[in-house]
Amino acid sequence: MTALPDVGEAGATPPAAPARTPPDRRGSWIPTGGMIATRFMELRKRRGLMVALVLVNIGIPTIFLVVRLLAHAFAPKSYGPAGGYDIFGGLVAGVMYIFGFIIAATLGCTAGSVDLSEGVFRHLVVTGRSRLALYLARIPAGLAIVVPLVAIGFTVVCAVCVFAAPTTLSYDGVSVPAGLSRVGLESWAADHADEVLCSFNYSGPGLPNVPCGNGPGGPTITGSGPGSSGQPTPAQLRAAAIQIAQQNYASYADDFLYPSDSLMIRSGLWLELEATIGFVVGLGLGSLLGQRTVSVILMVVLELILTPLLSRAHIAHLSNLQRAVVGLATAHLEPGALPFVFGGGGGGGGGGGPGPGAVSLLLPESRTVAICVIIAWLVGWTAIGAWRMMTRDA
Amino acid sequence: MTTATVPSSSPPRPTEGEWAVETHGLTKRFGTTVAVNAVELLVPRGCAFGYLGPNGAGKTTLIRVLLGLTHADAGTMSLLGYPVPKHRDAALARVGAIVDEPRFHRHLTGRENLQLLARAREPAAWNRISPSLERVGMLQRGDDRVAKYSMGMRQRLGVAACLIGDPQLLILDEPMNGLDPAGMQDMRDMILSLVAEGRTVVLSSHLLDEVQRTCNAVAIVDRGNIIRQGPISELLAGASLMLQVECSDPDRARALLERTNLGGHVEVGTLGLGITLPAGTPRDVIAEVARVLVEGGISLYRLQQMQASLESWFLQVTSRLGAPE
Repeated sequence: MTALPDVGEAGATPPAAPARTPPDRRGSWIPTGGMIATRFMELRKRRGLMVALVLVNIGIPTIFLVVRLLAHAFAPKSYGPAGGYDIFGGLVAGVMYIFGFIIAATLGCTAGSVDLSEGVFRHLVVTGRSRLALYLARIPAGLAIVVPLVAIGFTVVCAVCVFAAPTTLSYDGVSVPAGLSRVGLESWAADHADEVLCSFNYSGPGLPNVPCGNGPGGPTITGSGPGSSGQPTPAQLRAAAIQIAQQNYASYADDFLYPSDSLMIRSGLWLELEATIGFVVGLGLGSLLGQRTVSVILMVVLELILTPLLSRAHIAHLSNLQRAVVGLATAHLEPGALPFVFGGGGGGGGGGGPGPGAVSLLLPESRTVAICVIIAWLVGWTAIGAWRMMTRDA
Repeated sequence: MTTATVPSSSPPRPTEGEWAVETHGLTKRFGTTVAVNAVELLVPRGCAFGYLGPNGAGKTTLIRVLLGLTHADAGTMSLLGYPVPKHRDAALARVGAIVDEPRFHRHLTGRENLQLLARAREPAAWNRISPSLERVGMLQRGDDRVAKYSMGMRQRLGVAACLIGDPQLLILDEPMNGLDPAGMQDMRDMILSLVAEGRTVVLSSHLLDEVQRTCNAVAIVDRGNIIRQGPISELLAGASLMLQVECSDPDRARALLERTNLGGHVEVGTLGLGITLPAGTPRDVIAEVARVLVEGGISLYRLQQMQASLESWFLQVTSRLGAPE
């Protein structure tokens, strides 16, 4: 071991503090950028954890989409396009919502507990740095990993769903050009009167007899108009098709070949919100328990078992308690036009919801209450985790 | 001390007193067990101070209390003149410590671990990482993952972690653990060089020989109490006088000596006759022993005064010699 002038040399007195030293705010509760950066490095370099997070959040959707792309490329008649609106909805609400929460929670539990379990916590405490600052530094550091991970996975899904979307829209089993205006749909219906009359849903009076016989899937035609006793003329059929198209336009307009920009943005933000909640709650729980494995298991149980159960069950005297479940609150903030999460919730927003006739099975909750619940969870678990870190023996 | 009148808005300037560590009535309990019992500890500045005690004596607990890793139940303390815990952050800014074994994030390199700690310290600590690694002989291995380090290398890294704060006070808990003889020699030299720079090193250890070679002063702790403290030379001056005798007939020599009024304890061992005389016995007694044996017709081959060691003294004062566990 050699003595170095920088650290001190034998026979010398300790170096006096330089005349102009940068401010040392180590008692402050605000973490420095350097603390956040090194904490980010510490988390990022957990190779096994990072690989698992990437596989779950990016790998699974990517593999699913690649398989669909290949299947459609080799057997297009048997397998539909890889992308499209329906695939987008299914992946976002069914896969990324759940997995995004779980990977964020896993990272949060890790960030909250490993300093303690790996014996580094006492080194950090001995620096004299505020324990609250040490805790708070983990939040931006962890989110700097979680948010891009979710964003990358979501971008892959969006890209495939947009660029590999079907070229024609299937409406009530009929291939219809997408994106038609009301007039355009009426015009198209007039030119395809037989298909419209036989396949589109319709409820109303005044239509002529339809030659396709009103089979399954055909329109429900009630009543009869003048001249209904004989065969309708082509002009009557076109008029009837236009009438049906007018009634179906609202429903048709909610069907897309691929998700709109607005829906993708709202869905992405919703997924990031869910992941942020997962990370912050996991961080607090990890700090509280001081154990990663138990914390992760509890978070998975919360997301996969407790939240679906408590979101759908209607328990008379516990409904307000059920509304305090954060998963229910985020489900109520789900963008409209996405499928229901937890097998029956959400979709309450504008934009058409999860389709005509779909009924939410979730416990009702206003958006205001849902936002309050989410804020309470974020603040509450941050406070719990910080309190435990500040009072824990190191 | 916490009773000092200081503005609450800013930490006081450290008093330039002679004590690097000062505790009064410091007590820490775990349930009904008193781990640290009204400890009065005074560690002079600029020396190597040994903190000795058998296993379970409360050494590490006291260190943890001093560093704010756990709270004290009673008493006052100060580090480098700063009362703690009131001005703990200001005090710890110039303290480096290894508590128990040094543990680090195994997936990071030694340098990255130091970076993590340096960012929690003052900005200048970042620039001390490489010099600290070089000083402990770890510069070449600093970019290896800690998972590949031996125990001795982790000890060195622990010392480097202390040095990045440019500490005036280092508290090292069993720093020799896991070191080979060469590593122990290096560690000893480094501690001495740190003291030579004017820093204070508190060395908690059960390796009495190492402490005796390294430290100027010691405190002995047993069952949570400090039972002796002071410079080693002064403490050993109060130890018993021990004589080792090789002679032709140890048993008869023992009988002869026991009939005299020397006032010591005589026993026959494998190395011959051992005589333990009370502290402060004049050196003339050594000549008296030789005279009694020679006049008794016993051939005297060797009569040697044994240097009192810290170990023998430690065992005397802690009453652990032959005591049941």
